[in-house]
Amino acid sequence: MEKHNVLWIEDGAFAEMSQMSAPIYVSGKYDLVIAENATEGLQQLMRKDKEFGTIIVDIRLPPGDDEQFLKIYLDKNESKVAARLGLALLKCVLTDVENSLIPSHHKEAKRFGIFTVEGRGELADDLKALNLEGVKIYQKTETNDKDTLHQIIEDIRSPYPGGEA
Amino acid sequence: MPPPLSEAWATAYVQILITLVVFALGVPALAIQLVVQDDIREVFHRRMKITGWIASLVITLLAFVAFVWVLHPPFKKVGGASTGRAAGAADGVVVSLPLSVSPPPVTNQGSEARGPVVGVGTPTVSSPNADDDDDGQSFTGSLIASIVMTLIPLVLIGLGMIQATYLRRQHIIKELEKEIVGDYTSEQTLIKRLWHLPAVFRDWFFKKKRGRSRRENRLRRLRTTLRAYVSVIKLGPRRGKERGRALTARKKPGHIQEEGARPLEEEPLSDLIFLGKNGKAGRDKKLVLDSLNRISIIVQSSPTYQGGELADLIKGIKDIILNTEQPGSDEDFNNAIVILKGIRHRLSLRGDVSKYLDAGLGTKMLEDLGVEAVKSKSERTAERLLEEASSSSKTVFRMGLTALDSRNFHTAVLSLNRLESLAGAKNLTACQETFDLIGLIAHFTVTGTATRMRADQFLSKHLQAFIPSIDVCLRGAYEHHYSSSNFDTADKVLDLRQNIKSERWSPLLLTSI
Repeated sequence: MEKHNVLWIEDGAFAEMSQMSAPIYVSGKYDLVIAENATEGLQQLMRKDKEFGTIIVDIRLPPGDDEQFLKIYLDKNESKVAARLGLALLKCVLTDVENSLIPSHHKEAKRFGIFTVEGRGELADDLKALNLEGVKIYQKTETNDKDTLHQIIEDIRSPYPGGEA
Repeated sequence: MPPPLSEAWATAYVQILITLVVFALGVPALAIQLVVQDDIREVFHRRMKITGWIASLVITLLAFVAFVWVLHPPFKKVGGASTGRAAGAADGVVVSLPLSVSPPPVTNQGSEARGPVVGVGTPTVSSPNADDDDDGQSFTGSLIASIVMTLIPLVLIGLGMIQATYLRRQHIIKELEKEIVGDYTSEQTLIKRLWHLPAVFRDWFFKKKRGRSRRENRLRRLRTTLRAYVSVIKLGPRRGKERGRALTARKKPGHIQEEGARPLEEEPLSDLIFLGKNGKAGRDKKLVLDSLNRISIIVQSSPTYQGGELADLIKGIKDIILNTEQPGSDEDFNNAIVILKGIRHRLSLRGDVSKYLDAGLGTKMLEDLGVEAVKSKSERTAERLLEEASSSSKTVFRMGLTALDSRNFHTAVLSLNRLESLAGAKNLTACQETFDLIGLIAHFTVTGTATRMRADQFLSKHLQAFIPSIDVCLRGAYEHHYSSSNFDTADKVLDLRQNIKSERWSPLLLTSI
């Protein structure tokens, strides 16, 4: 009996967005792990005992304890918006091929999705620069409902490229 | 020269002195009583040493005595009288009466008036020419006395202000933190140990309530340091490449040097935790928790840290948060999570976390906090803790059950989901994870139709997946919960068994099976 492991890196996952996790728990099909900052996200991705099939990342993340993330955050006047630590995390995981601390299965871009306030246009240049154009982007809007996260997970899992949620 | 003693003077003197002493002691005491909180006062009294405050008090008292004995104007005058001056000179005015003497006039032989004639002039009144020096001295004495008497209340007010600053919560916490960190990071030289020796005797005589263990701890540490010095003398110093390293003894062949983890200084740490326990939820507790966080970071970054020194600090965090008289707020719970996670994270950077005492203890505390959070804190806090404590099926079961009882279904279904994963990782074999899962499912089955539907959704799909069989696992779950005296759960597992045997699934689920 194996559940599909999902990692959601989102600082509001236990707060304003907690209702989005309810359908995931009720469905019983997923093991949802939540990381609230970039450091925790990286720690989860370094785990060798757990393979995440779907990883959803927010762009505006707090840094946590990691010195590198902390430095970026402080350099940007402690602004989550300016620091864009979600991108820094993606860069660290997906573009550093020689990083042996992260298992190879967590370096597959197709497992990742970005769920953030920024639209595709705002992130396109950054993703292109990082050669991560394959990563799917889903925009947070006021019309998002409790099923949005479930739909995103299903979309990332599906073999066909999906559009924006 | 001391004044002549008399009964009246002695009585007046004693009265003045008593009034002044009461005033000097009473004003700051009253101020402290009114302004400073009980827990701060208790810590202050416990840690009070001969500080500037005591010294100032002594100076004030000396000033009183000086005023009464030395500077008081009447003494000066008494002293002046003893120089032998005419008493009248001190009376203020001098009356001058000019006299003139003339030879007797020659009038007749028979006259009786033969002596000289004394003429009396007009009397004049003048100010005394009493010594100006004495007056000057009297004036200076009065001036000094006035200044002293004006300064004394000002000194007392200043003293009160200094003390109020010193007794602010953040200052006391900072001092305690400095002491703990300083003690841990500095070399424990013999001189430093001897410096602390008076504290051993102080504890012995005056602080019996602090318990024997602290005295023994101090003495044990002193003995260890002395033994180390004796070893250095006996075996000779070991020469290392590092400069500035503490002098250590060479090892004898086959000799195991006693070097264990150096715990944090117990006394200031317990005072710090005491302040956290009794501080109000929110700001007061945050000050202490932030301080503990800083201490844990410094200790863990020390090269001497061995992974077990933070045990008391970790237990203290739980005491601070779960104190029944002053329970922590959601914010305090979240701060505690940050500290405990931080300790675990820094240990994980050293390699295998499981071998470190502090990591295990941190996880245990997160679990305990989690169960409490489900009962009394927000859903958000409870779920954050559940996320951290999700490796223990026992804790997840307890949290899920508590959430179900308090109708917090979001957290309850999260717990069930997590238990499904934990049991699934063990392939649903007859083990504790599976028993805890069955226990929670049994509760879900009887709580309501919707909860039963969620439970049946899992069971109906995985009934054949249990190893060796669902029946064996159900029996195992019954025994597991019975032996843990979870009789309610055991009964519900029995009911679940009957449902499964008779294939009584949730009516809403029938269409999807």
